[in-house]
Amino acid sequence: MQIHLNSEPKKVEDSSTLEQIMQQFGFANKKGIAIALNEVVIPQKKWAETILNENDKLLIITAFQGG
Amino acid sequence: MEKLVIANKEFESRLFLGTGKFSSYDLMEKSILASASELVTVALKRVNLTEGENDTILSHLNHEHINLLPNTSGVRNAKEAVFAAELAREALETNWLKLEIHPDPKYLLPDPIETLKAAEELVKKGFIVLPYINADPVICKRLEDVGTAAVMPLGSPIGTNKGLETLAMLKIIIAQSNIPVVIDAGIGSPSHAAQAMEIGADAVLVNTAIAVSQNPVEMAEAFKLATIAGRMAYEAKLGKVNEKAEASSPLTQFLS
Repeated sequence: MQIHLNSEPKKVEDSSTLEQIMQQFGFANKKGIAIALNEVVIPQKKWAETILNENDKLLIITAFQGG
Repeated sequence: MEKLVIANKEFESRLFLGTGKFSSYDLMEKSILASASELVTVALKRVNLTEGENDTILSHLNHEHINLLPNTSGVRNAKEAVFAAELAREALETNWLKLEIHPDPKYLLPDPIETLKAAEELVKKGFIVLPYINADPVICKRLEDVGTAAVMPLGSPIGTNKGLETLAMLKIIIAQSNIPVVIDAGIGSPSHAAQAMEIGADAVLVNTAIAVSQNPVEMAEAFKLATIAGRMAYEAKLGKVNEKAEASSPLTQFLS
């Protein structure tokens, strides 16, 4: 199925969990990131139980320089 | 000197730093250490999926005395600010937040209506909210009323280095505030920071003036010293301003 990761279309396995997606894209053990699924923030402890659907929108953010 | 307390947290330093505009993480880190600041802001951005990011800002801010203050820069209204705040809390494991909503890119002035709306909601959600706001005594009182931990009125627009152009309003804000007043934005030189402290501000937040200096590390130390000097002068109490001269040497008649 297709999802949108930071607005880029990505192919992933059907019924992937958020944890699997994060592993697939290399964010599994990253510190200092946060994820929103369709504009709802998903805490890290819920990644394993969160199953994605076709056309879901994932936003992954991290800290950057700013005043 | 008295310690600064915000939301029951004690700070030795009354100088907060922004992390923007430094030419490298290394220079940013050295400048922050030279400033002795214990509270530094960070922004949020989307992770870069293609390049990968090995050197992250957080690894350069990993010092025991440094606390993070994530900001909501880039949001245009209260709804987006609350969303950004929740992302920041999850990513950085802190409920401290610099709330900033400035939809107009030319002057980056805060939208007071959206800021108040967001502040009220974020306080209810358990955030320690430090709102960046216009130097307007009325809106500052309204923010205090909804439970913000401090107010951060601007001296002049972000990045202008113009200093305390809002001086008269800042004095009113300081006089009537029951929460710490942090003067944020526009502080362009150590003398501006000292002036802010002399008029009784509880802290200052500085970024551009340090980050774009020819020597950010020395400038950071200069700001540290100026902030301490200004606070010491405030606590020692400045003399009154007189219209006429008052002799500081005895006018005795040694020439008869």
